[in-house]
Amino acid sequence: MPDPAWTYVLIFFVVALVVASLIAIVPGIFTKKRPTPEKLEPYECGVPPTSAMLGRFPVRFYLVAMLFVVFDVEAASFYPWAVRLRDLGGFGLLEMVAFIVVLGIGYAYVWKKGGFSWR
Amino acid sequence: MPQVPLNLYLELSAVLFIIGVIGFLLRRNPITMLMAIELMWNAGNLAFIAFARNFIDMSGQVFAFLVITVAAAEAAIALAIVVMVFRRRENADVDDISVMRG
Amino acid sequence: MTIQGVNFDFGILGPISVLVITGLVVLLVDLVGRAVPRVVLYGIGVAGCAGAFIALAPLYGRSATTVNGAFATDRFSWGFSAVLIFTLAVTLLLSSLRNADDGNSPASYAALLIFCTIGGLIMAGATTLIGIFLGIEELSLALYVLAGTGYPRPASEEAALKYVLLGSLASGFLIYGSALLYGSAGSVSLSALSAAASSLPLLFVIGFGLLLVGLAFKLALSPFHLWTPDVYEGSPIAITAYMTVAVKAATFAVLARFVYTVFGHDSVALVPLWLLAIFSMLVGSFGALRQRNLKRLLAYSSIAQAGFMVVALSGVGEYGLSSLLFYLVAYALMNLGAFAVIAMLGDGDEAYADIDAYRALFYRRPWVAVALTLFLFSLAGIPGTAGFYGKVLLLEQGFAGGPWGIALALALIAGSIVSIYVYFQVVWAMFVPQEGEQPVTAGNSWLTWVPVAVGVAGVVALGVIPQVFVSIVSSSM
Repeated sequence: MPDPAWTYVLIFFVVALVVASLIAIVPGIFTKKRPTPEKLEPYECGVPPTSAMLGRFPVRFYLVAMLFVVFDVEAASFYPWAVRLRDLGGFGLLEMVAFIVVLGIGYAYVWKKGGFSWR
Repeated sequence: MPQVPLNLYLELSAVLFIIGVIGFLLRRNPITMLMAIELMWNAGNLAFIAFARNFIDMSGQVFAFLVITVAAAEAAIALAIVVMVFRRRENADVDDISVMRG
Repeated sequence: MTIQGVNFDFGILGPISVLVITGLVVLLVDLVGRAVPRVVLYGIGVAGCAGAFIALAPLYGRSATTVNGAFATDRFSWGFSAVLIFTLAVTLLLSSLRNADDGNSPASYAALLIFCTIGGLIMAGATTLIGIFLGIEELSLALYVLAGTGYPRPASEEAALKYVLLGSLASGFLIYGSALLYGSAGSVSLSALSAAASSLPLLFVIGFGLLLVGLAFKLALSPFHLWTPDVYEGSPIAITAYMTVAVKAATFAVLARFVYTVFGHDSVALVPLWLLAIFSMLVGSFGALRQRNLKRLLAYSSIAQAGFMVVALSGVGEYGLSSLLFYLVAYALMNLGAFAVIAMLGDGDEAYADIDAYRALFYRRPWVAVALTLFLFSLAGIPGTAGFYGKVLLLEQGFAGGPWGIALALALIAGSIVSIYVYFQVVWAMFVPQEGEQPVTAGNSWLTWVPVAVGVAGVVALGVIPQVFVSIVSSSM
């Protein structure tokens, strides 16, 4: 027998589903589409864009950004170790050394393969 | 300070999750679809943290922490693949990226 | 040994440790050496597989946990781990073909494959939702990249994009489901979940439903299979072979552990799983009917095969698990064998994906045609092959398992009958003589003859003396 205390969770799932679908679908049905050049601008009110945004960035930007995201967030793994540094002691240190070694090999690999060079 | 009840967290996370699912289904741009997926993952995180707080148990927080790190790796890989596809084509609408049928 | 309140048993973690070191060594060798030949890197990988097997062997029949009960070696993990390591070795051999990984860095390719397998091993041994999630993600993330390694072909990048989008969606369901399961039990360990499973609170039901959706995506159970044919067709051939076997092996390890530990294999909450299985068997078998591309045909067949394997879980008692494992071993041998033949004929190229290329193959390459026929017969379940006895075991489980079990068994029979016709079409094409222009077959490398020979030997042995293997499998539990 399901716990009645959780029934509202189910109800809420249904309500959320319906509301979110309505928000997504209803405007598409009822609105009239009368596009004007201003409306199609990326920012409808504001400074007119100086150049087309459809131009492409060099793929280098993406590469740097992606590598940054990975190494940045992996660095967050140090945080739990840092707050319990004294309790974890030598074992914690060994664990983190292992972690850094694995991460370091990945880092060295990216470096060797030219992932960090701008050219 | 009054406690925010568990229910509210769960309701918020359910809404986020469902917005994520619907966003994934309605959008056709891979980047937007990835954003919808991130929303679903983070809805899970919110539920985990709320439960962990409720049970005074660390494992929920550990799970959420791991989800965040994995999400970063996943985002990097997914964006790399999207860039790979973009470079070859003018647009990246998932309906157009299809040479295989059946 | 216990450190800081965490107990470690490096024996249990042995296979994983060996593969982690192997993966890092592959990267380091490529880092230090100058233009290291591909064969050396893949050779290190295969040696690592041998090492992992040696580390796995002493765990046979053992049942123990480590890392404070978060990782186990037991009846759920041993056989699945062995299949995973075997699949890795075969995939590395297939990847060593000339055209298999053109334009890619072989070191990162091999390392990613090894890391994939580590993810699979973690899934097989994980006893908590955290471990399951980590294993699935490690397996999937590496596979997203590998699916795109056929880069110059547009189909490969399309496969990678579809796989990463739908795979991440599946992970989203998995995470949210895990969160709700955690909320229903107050703990991430599967044994704690079994208490919640007995009373089935609503939170648990929703959570399990979402988790099942996530796992069904990864297993390609219908109706969550829509990505499968495209991804399997677009990926490089060796990676397709790996996906069809390794992902299924690892995910079935998780599913079996979940079903047996949490539900004790009999619960009304499992009905959706049975429905998914029945759907998959029918969709997979009928979907294969109109395929002209052999990779795509095998993709549909793998959807049906995943459905077949679920039947094992519907049975009662410990015997269900050993029939699942027996079928999985048979499936690994015959499916990897079939893919090895396709890879060998095209020398790792995509030339032999189309069925038309197999016309009159028997008159050009008789032994290869005979081997492929054997694998296809085994997949279809012709008596005397591994697949036949595997299906017999599954049917036994189904018919012993109540109304749902019988429904599953009937679907299995229906699916098998359709698939016999599907495979027979290919065999027919190979043996009918044909005049005129014949496609060129590539030279054969002995490296691919190894998996083909192992596959032939295994399929015949499992088909002719199955009882020996059943007892080996059963006593590993």
